[in-house]
Amino acid sequence: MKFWWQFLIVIAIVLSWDCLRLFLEARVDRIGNQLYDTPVMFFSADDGLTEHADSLLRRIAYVKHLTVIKGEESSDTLISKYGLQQARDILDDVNLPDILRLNLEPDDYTEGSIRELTTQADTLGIPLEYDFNRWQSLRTAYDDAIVIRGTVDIVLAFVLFLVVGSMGTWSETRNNLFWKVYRRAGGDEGKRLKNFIRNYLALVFLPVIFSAVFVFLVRKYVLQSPWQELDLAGLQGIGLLLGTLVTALSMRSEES
Amino acid sequence: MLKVNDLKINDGERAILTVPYLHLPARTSALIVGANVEGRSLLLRTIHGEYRQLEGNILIKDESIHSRKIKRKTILVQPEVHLLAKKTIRENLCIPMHKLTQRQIERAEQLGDILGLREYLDSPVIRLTYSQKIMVEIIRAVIQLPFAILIDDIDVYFDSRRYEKVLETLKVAMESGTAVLATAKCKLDGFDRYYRIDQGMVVEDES
Repeated sequence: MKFWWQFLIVIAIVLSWDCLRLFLEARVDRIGNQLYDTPVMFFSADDGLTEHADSLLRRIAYVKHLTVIKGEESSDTLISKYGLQQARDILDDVNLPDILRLNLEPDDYTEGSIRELTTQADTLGIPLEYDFNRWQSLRTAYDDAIVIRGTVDIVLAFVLFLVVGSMGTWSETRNNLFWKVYRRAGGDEGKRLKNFIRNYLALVFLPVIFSAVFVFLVRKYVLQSPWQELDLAGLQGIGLLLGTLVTALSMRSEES
Repeated sequence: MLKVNDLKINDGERAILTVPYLHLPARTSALIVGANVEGRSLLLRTIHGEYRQLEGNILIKDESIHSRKIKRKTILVQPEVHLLAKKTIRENLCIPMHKLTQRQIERAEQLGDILGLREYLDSPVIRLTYSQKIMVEIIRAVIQLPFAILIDDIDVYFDSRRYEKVLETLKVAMESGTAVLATAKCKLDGFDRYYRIDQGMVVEDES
């Protein structure tokens, strides 16, 4: 098999992997955003307590965003939202509580963090509310999406390793006779090794670079998602490197 | 110039063959005569740089045979054929080089004429007889003009007529500065110098 065929097959696998990964990543982000948009709310009827709770809750790392909605603001919202102009006098007489609306980091929005917030609420003596059913279904979907993404990565890294290892071994075994004749005919003894190093450096690094650039551009200009680590390129590099190592070992055992 | 000085070829602990002195200037041919299992092939493989359990030195242009400074040092022709059977003679002649030069093509055709292979140059090697295949290997060695062409068991491949033609072919390489070192089980005509293996030692045969 010509080396360029191997190269094209690897590029095809890597790009398919990139597309699948970006799709799964978008799915994780979508569910994560829904989870983020499922707030935890504290209710406080005391202004002093609201300020204390505000400063306390802002210190928690996984609280990504905290909004304080004052009682008057709530009654204005109710009036404008439901057209309750005639009830303004009644509502002005009622003291609606202040609301502390917390949006949490999806990764940390777990049972543990909810328990911690409940403890805080109990300590402050103010009630806490969140949509448990929505949170539970989104949490399960979010965790499942992360597991699927990780599993796909591992399976495809293994596929890449198998494809590169088997194609390389097959190709080098087929070329053994040529190189034997080449050497006996007076050819350069080190040419095979030089060719191997040049080809497989290209096979390991070019697809990884190509993939990293592709993923970066799609994230930036299509998905418009923030910068993420190059863990995908790293995994692809490991798969390719291990496949190359198997090829090198098979070539070495054939030569000796 | 191929120089072999105080060479001891070992097999683990003991020396199998010793070559106290073997100097082969450019444009010279030499034949080493020895019986079976006396180490003729091993000596050529050692000079070619394939067998490395040795003491002493083998020099080409005063550089060790294992040095990377010298290219196209020696080409070894052995009884085992080293050609790609499905490729044509022309394609097999190209194998160690990227492409044959015009000069090499002309030389290959000239040698094909001498050896009666001209009409087969574009035929696959699989159609050739054993001796013709060895002749193709010799042509391939000659057109590269290495420092030395090493031919193992030159007496087993050819009848007397073809043997003469092969010597003529080798002379083409020698005219350009290549040395030829061959081995055989019996003494053959047509070489400038003769050596024999006597009790594990290569000595010059002056007779």
